[in-house]
Amino acid sequence: MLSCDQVARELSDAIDGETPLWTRLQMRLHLAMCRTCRRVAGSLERTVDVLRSLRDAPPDRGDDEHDGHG
Amino acid sequence: MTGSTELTDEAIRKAEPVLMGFARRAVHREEVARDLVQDTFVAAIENRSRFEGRSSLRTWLVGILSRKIIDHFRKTKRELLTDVPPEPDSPSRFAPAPESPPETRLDHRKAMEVVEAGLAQLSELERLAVLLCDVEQVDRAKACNMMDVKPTHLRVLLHRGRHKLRKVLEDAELRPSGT
Repeated sequence: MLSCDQVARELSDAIDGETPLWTRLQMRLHLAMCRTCRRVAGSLERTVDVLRSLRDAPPDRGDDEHDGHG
Repeated sequence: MTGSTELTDEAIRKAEPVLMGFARRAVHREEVARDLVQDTFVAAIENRSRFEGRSSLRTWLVGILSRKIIDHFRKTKRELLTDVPPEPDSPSRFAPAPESPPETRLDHRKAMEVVEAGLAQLSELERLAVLLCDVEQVDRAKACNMMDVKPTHLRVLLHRGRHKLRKVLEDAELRPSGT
């Protein structure tokens, strides 16, 4: 059975339908039994849903001085 | 902006708000964003014959812009693009925040503001990956081509970027006064 850490690593792929069938089944089994991972999965799906909403809501200006690392 | 395949100068110019929004989110500097979008227009007009209509005009232009952004990142950072992610993921990165009461859950508009601001906390490549795959909804194969990265690298960038933004959103909901 997958560990919580393994499930967390697969969640992003699962959102995009990139997870192999067997892994998806194992994830479903884990999520059925693990409330913490269910919360993470729900939260991640919501985050991606919010990101998709940004497509038609462009920002006004980009004057931030933040410089991220690569 | 529609998915029209008509490629007139006017159609390209009409994409300016979309491209400026994308560039602003990617580089967080207004002047740089303007330069990149102008470079994108020049490249699009010069290479309009290459637009075959297999993707929407928006996606095609965002693809050109993404490559300009990557070139910009390469010029400003000496070590930016590697094949192997520089650090291993620690399990604590994925742990959820303590559960917040239902009444502190942000409405969708506020959540958009929080996530928008949270983009600044991502690395440049994580941000670009999320902008392409989640905001612009470009499929991973196209995004790999636009960013000139391998699928395994894009996978890691998306995974990290999304989880960072998830934590930003969760943390905002833990603070009842908001961001």
